[in-house]
Amino acid sequence: MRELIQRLSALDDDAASAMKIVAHFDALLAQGAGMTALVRGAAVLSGWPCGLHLPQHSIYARVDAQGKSIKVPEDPSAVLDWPHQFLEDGSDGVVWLERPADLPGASDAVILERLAAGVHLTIERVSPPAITDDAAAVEILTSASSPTARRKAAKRLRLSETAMVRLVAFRAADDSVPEQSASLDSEIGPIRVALVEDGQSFALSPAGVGPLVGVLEAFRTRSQAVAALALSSRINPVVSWDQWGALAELAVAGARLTHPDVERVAGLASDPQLLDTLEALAVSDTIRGAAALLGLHHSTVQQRQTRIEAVIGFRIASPAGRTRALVALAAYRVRDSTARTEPADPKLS
Amino acid sequence: MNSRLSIPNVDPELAAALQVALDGTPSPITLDYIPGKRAEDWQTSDLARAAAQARGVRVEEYDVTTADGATIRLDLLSGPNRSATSPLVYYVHGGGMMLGNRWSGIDVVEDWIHRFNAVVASIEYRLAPEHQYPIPHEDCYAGLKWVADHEHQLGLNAASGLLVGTSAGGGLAAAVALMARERGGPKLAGMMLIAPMLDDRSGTMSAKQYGNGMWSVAENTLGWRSLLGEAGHRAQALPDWAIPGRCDDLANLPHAFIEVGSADMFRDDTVDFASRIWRGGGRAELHVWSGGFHGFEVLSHTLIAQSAVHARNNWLQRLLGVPESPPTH
Repeated sequence: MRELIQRLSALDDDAASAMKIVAHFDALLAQGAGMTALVRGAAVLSGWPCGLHLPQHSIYARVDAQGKSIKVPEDPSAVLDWPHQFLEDGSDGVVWLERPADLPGASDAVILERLAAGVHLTIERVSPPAITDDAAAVEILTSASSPTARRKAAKRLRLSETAMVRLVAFRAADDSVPEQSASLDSEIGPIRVALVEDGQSFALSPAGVGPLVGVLEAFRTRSQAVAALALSSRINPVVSWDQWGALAELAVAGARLTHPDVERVAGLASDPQLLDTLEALAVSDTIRGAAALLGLHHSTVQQRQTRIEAVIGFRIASPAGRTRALVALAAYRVRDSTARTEPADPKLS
Repeated sequence: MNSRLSIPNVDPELAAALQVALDGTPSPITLDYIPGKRAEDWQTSDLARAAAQARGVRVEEYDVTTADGATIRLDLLSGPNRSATSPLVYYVHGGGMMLGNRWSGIDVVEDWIHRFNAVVASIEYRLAPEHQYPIPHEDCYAGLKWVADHEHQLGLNAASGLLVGTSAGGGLAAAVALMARERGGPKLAGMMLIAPMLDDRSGTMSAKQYGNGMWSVAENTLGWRSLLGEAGHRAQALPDWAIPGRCDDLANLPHAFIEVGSADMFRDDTVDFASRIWRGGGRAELHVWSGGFHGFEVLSHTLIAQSAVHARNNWLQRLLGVPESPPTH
C-alpha cells in the first residue's frame, strides 16, 4: 500500500510523466473531484506547493507539497513570481506552482495547463458560492467569462437569459453609482458599469449607454458604452451609443488621428463655456435653440459663436458646418477621455 | 485493466489518485508473490527508517524472548524530549498476517513522537504462513508485556499509552488487548484499530460489496488460512483473542478509536466491533470515512486522508489529555 503515494509523485521530465499528469487530471475531472483536489493533485505530482486564486469567486487556496492547506500570500500578485497560468476565461483566475526558478521543472507547464483547465471546468460544474454579490454578477456579465458563468450571473440578477439590456458606463469616482454595478478598468480609466433592462431608467450622470443587446451578449458592448461615456459632456451628460449613430464610431476612430479641426476644438478647452457653446450650436438648429440649451441670452451665444468660429476656422451656422463641428468635438471628447489615463497610446478598442 | 480500479463508490480524489498509482501493480496477493513482496517491504522500510532518523527520531533495538522461547526484535523510536511520562505507542504493523515488517507504515505513528512526545515500540512479530496461530499473537503480546515490564528502565509510561494497528496489525492489536484482559497483563489507556482485520469469515455485506477491493476476499481468505492453519477448522473453540471478530464480550477493553472506509470489505466487521464495545459498556469512537477503500490513508495528500489523520490526532489529545505540539516537519 505504501508505494501508492510514491508512484503518484515520482515524476521524471519525460513523456511518460506528461501522460501520468494528463491521466491524473482527467481522472480527477471524470470523478468529479473538487477544485482543491486538483490543486492537491498538482502539488503531489510536482512535489511543490501549488495554489489557486479566483478573484471573481473569492476563492484563494494554497497547499504544500503534501497537499496540506497552508497560508495564502497576503498580496495575490506575489504569486505571479512563481510559474503560473491564468484561466482562459478572462476572469483573472490564476493557478501557480512554487518551484524555485533555479530548479528544473519540465513538467510544470503541463501541470499548470491541466490544473488551469481543470479548475475552469470545475467552476462550471460545482457552481461554488461563486457570485457572492450583485456586483460580481455584473462583473461576470460584462467580461469575457464563460457562457455558463454568464448564465449563472444573469440568474443571480434575476434576469432571464433572453432579457434585453443596455450596458451603462459611469465614472468610477462617483459614489452614487448603482449597487448592481461593477468596477472595471477601461480605456478611459476606472469606470463602473451597470446593466439596465430595456425600458428601465437610471438617475445618474454622466453616463454612457450602450446599444440594446441580449444579457448574455452584453459584455460585447462594453467598448460602446465606454465610448458613449467618453462623449458625454456638461450639456449632454447622458450619451447613448444609439443616438450618435455612426458618428460615435467615427469619433472613436478619430481619436487615433490628428486632424486640425480636432486640434482647434482642443484649443477651446481652456474655456469650458466655449466648448459647451460649440456643442450646443452643433446639436441645435438655431442660435435661439442653442441659447435655450445653455440657458443664456441668444445675443451672448451669438458673440461666443463669433469667437468660436475665429478659433476653429470654419463657420458652424450651416448643417454642414454643424456636422463638421460635431465630428471634431466628438473626436476631441474621446481623445481627451483617453488621454487622461493613457497619454502615451490613446486607443479605444 | 486492474480490477481494483473499478471499486464502486470511492471518493473521487482517491479514485483519481488510484488510477495513476495502481498503474502496473500486480494483483491479487498470492503465496507465490510473498517472498518478492517481503523483499520490497524491506527496501521501503529501510527508506522509512532513514527518513525518520533524518527527522531526529532516535532508534533503539531490543531483543524480546517470546512464549515459545524464540527471540524477536523490538524497536523503540523516540524524540529528544523523551521522559518517564512519555506515553507508549505500541505499534503492530499490517500486511495481511503474511507481509510487512516493524517499519512498515511507521509514519502512522511516528508523527506522535513529534506531536505528543510519545515513545513508539514496534514489534517484529513472526509472519504466517511459516508461523501460525498462536505465534504471531503471542509475539505481539510478549513485546507489549516486555515493554510494560521495563517501562522505568526504558523511560516511558505504558499505562497512559495505546495499542495501534493497521489492517492485520489492527486485528492483532485487538487480540493483544483481549489477551491482556484475559491474563491480567498490561493495562493501556487506549487502542487504535485502523481498518482492522478482525474476522476470518468474510461473510458481511461489505465483503460482498468490496470483496474485489484494495484488500480482497481472496486475499483475506489466504491471510486467515495462513495464520490459523489447522486451527481454522475449530475456530469456535479457540480463545476469545484468536479471532477478535468472533468474540462477543468486548467489555473491559482500553478506550477504542476505530477507523474504516465505507468502501472497505472490513467495514461491517469494524462497525460491528465498535457496537459490541458499546454494548459491553465500553468506550469506542468510530469513524467510517465515506468513499474510503482499504488503506486509503496512504494517499496522504487527499482531503479524506488528511481528515482521517486529523481525527486520530484529535482523539489522541483527548485520550492522552495533552495538547499536541505543532508539527516540526
